[in-house]
Amino acid sequence: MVECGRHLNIEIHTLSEITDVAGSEGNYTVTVKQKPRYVDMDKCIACGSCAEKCPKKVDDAFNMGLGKRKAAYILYGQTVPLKYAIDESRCLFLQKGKCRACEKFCPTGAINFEDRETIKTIKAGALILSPGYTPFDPGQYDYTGYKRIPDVVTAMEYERMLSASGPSMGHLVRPSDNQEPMSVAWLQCVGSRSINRHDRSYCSSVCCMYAVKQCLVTADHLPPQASQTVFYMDIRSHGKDFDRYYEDAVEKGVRFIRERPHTIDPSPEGCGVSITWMDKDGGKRTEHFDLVVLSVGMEPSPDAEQLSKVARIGLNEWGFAKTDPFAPSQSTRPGICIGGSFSGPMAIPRAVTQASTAACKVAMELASAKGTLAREKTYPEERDVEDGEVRIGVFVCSCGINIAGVVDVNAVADYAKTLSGVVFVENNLFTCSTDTQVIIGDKVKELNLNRVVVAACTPRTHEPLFQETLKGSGLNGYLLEMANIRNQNSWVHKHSPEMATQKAKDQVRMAVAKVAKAVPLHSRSVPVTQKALVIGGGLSGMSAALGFAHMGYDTVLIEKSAQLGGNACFLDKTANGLTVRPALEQMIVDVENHERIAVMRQATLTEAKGSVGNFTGTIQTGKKTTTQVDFGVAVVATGGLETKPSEYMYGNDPAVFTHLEFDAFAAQKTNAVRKAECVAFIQCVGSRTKERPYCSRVCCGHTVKKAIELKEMDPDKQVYVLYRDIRTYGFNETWYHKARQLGVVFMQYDPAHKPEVSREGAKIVVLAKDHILQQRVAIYADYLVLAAAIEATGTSDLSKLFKFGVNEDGFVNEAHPKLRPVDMTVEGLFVAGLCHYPKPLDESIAQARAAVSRASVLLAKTEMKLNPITSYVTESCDGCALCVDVCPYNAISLVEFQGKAGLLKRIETDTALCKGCGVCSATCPKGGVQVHGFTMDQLMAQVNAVIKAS
Amino acid sequence: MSTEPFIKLGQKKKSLFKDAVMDILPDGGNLNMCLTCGVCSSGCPATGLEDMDPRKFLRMAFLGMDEEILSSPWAWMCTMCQRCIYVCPMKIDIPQLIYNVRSVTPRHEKPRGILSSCDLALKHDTCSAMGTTEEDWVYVVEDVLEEVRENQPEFQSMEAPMDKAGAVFFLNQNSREPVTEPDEMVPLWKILHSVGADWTYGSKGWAAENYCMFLADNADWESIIRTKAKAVEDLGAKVWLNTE
Amino acid sequence: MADIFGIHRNTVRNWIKKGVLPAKPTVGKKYLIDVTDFVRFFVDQGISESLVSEFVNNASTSVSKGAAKLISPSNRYGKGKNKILTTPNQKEMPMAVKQIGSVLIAGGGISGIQAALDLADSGYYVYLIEKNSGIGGAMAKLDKTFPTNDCAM
Repeated sequence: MVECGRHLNIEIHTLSEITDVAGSEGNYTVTVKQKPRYVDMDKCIACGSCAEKCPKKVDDAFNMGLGKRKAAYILYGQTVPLKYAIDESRCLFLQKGKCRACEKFCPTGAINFEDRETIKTIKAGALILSPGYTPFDPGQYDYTGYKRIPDVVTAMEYERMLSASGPSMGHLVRPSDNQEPMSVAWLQCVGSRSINRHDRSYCSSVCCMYAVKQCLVTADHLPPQASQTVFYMDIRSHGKDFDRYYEDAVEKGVRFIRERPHTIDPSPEGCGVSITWMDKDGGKRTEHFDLVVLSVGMEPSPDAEQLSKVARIGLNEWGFAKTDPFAPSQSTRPGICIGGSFSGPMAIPRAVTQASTAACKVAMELASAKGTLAREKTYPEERDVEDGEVRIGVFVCSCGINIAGVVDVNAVADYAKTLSGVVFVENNLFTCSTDTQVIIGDKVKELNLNRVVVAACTPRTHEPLFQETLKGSGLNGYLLEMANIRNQNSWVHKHSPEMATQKAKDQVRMAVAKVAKAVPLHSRSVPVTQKALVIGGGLSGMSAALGFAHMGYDTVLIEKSAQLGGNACFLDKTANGLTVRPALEQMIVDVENHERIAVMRQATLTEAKGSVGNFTGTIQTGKKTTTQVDFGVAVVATGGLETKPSEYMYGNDPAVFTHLEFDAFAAQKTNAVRKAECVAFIQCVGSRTKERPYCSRVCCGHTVKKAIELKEMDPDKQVYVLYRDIRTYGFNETWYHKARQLGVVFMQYDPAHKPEVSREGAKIVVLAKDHILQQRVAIYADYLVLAAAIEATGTSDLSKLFKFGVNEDGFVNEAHPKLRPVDMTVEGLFVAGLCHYPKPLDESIAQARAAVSRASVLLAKTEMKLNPITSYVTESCDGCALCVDVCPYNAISLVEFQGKAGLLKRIETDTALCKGCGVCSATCPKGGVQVHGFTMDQLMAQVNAVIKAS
Repeated sequence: MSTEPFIKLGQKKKSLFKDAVMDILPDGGNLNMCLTCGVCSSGCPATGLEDMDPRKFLRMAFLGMDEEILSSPWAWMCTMCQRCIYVCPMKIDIPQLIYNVRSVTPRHEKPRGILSSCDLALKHDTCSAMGTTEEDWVYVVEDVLEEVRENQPEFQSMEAPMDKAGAVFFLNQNSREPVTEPDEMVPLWKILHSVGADWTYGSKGWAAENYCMFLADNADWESIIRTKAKAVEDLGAKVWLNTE
Repeated sequence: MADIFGIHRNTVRNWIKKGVLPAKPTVGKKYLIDVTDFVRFFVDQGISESLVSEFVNNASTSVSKGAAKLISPSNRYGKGKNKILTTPNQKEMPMAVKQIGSVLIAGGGISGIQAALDLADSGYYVYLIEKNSGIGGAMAKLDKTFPTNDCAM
């Protein structure tokens, strides 16, 4: 948000809505209506006096109506732009001509009651529509007790209740009596997977996971004897690391009960509720709970319909934007893209990915206009800080209650004031917010600060942000030191606040000692190779290659096999029932014919050197031929494969198949399949096990569609699906719906008592237990289809070449699961498709396009600055060369030169290859090689600071 | 383990009972749609009786265990309260499934009490499940009215019309009151009298209950209704006030 | 087509020029129009739906100079001439429309913000339109996000 707020190329228009879209691709004229803010944004300093003095209280929509705000208000504490506004519909002056208190007390005269609605026209080459979603309102479901029983809340209300900036400041209390709830229950699927009262037959996709998250966060808020219980139908933890997170919650004692209660009754005790559900022994069971959270689903934004009319785009039957699986961000109107949950319920990682997908599509279409309207950022000249005293400013962050909940931040701030060199200390609620950046900048200039310490989270989250802030105020960005008093302190010492506070003081002292010795660092610029390498020629790889090509970048696409297409060659239909083959063939034709794409088949990458913007790779085709390729960025799209099961007679019986095998069989031997009386499916074969504790995500969707096909061949055909949880998330749920409609039988099995498979004459017999009748069943099937687990391919070899991270399951690690879902941990590398995690076709294409969008940010610059945290050689180097071998990046070489007394040796470091890991510096016995920003001097200062008594 | 009885699945079936019911319900009553979530069972007053509940019952029908569900006494324990379908996410018409199980039960196997009440109701045009005749009914009403007029002077002019042609309201009455607690009929007369309603009883078709509906016998149910409707029409009443 | 609908040819051309009827110029002074856009537009203009449908059904047989050529959505990925271009094929745009190097994003939640940053960093000017008084959307209301338990901010 802060980045948006201060980006030169982004203009934010708040209180605004689109009223008309005229024009066509490349040339739109959009009419925007802006409501009056009644506050002059140039004058407002967000001091809050207007809100303080305003007499009119209003239900705070941001806090889901749980708290109050004033008619003069700010949306929430960290919003961008951080300016107040006056709610016209509630202001006493604007409605009734009275008051004007805000005007009287505003110190800068920012209140402007003359403000009026304005209409403006904006010309744009493309549009992205991302109006978001709204949580389902359970009002109609009287049996949930919502609105009738005070201790029943929706999940979004609960988020506000848990939040440090919420109505109870993060102290979890139940509404009826403000006491801590010692037992909390979650009800899943409220407003989703239902056709009773209205059609909400889709799955909202995120509620299972947010409920698990809320359980664990709740456990943190409450004493250990407090309990969390989740009532569900299927646990949909189908994303990367989701299953682990869920199993972790089970182990931590969260109760997951696969039953749904009929009605929430008020508790006879007066507060809390009474819930009755079906117990395992076949009878009812009733328990008291202090608080109930309704896991409400996601509905399209209330603006969706209006927006769709204005922009003339198509919506689906539930009001979400219609998109195409082969062009996942494309609306029904060319030139207009869809971002985020407007196209369907999805979680943050997919929304962030899809936003980049939309950006890629737009950039592909507007390639010829790139840069025509963009502006360049300029920084003030850097101040000279080499001479003179060190003047350090320390900013201690509360991070809401993340830090302040454990560490006494005031004590830390007070302590910091006593440290030598410190001339200014401040405690902020959120040091990363926009207003604090302004404060830091102001203080730097006002007090002539020449070093800054931020005691907050990990540098991995916000270090670049603070560095930008310093640069913006005339200081070199590397005169900053962060003390991680969150991840390395408050998060891990939750139960020892006193010791945590002392540790925070030590951490600050260390940071102050180190930063005192910091010197400005400047980076070298290197040209950015305007070329991309795509590794893998499946759907993801091809989508990426086309993305780059349409943006105008030369691309090399390497594929290890002889043909393009990857797993898509074996897929019959997509989610929406479109056939894959024609689109796949078209894509191959497009890739092969595009002048900017060079395709290399039977090619593998055998060597990789360099760093972001300047990579060099060696590609081997056939047995001997090698080619050198320079590239600025690369997309890893090596794909995945269907594993071969080791159970259920697979491999030993001709009638037992994996999904892809059965698809192929059914296509060839259609008559045999048509005549079959019974087909059985077993889910989770090889997934969600100890060896592979993850979900392969696509199998449930594939199974239900195959089941539908079989039923449509012959409605009398018996089809059985044995499952653990049916994970047809999002709109896939409608296929599960249809499969049941057609009479497919779904039977849950316990992983501790898996089905038994044997052959009896012409039939395969699957022995299982019906989960409702608790009786054994024997299914006599003609064919058995197993949902085999999916694994990534090619990641381990490639990871050695580039040194990127791969998780314990073999999938490529992303830089941040939510906020940087396609960036890899190695800068300049991006990931897409199955090698990241199993996913369906449309998500692969979306991710590939997103990877291109993110990569194009790097390629957009023809020159880039290298990270200055690199090694450098000092006078003390005598050429012992101990460091050369230990460098993991081969960045050090030994050189000989003529000295006064004869031939001498010294090392040389390559700053382009160097990653600043410091192994050389640690190895060197003479201080002959150091790392900028982590010199021995600085490190020793830290060590001494921590040893010294406080 | 191998001696445990199995439910055999997988053969192409002759038409299931469930399919026959789906054919007559709108949208097939959504009988195939069950998610086995349990909301129905946790709210059903008959859950646990005969070790049965609505979810189990539907599941058995779904898996083709026709013999078991058609012979289970549980179908007669359902109160038709409709709590199940009220909350079911798939709006599955379990009450209709139960009703249809009841209706295919051979008549002599249906619950004796309900069966005999239906038979009694069919005996006379009164439709009374207690077998009350027209004469007895007319007599009781007259008798009780007289007593009220004598002992409660403020209701001296109160009427309890019988077979009044052209009245606006035709009031029916559950058979139990005139037979065992006749005074219980009076409060309703007082209300109608106080508001000045133009109403009447009928000597025929006056009984409010319909045990033939409970019996799930469509033909008899229809016969009872037609008798009652004719009684109302013959008197030319405009509104049928049904106290059941 | 204009005759059938009872309007003048130039009216159709003006609509296209003004951009209210979305149409892509192509060779021979013809236009490619998406069938859905076509139907919706003319029905909006008050032409009877049956007339429009009839025209659409006969469209493949009646192509005259200056007429609009319709693309059927089901042909979207078929090989051959009638392609909806979701990836622009430069070879089919001889009368290229001058493209504007800016993008308008409606909605300032996490998706709008991410798209804005991607595009702004790549060389486009972005207008981020938000109906509330500040950006952040629904994610700003979340307390923590799993699995890292980062604060949603």
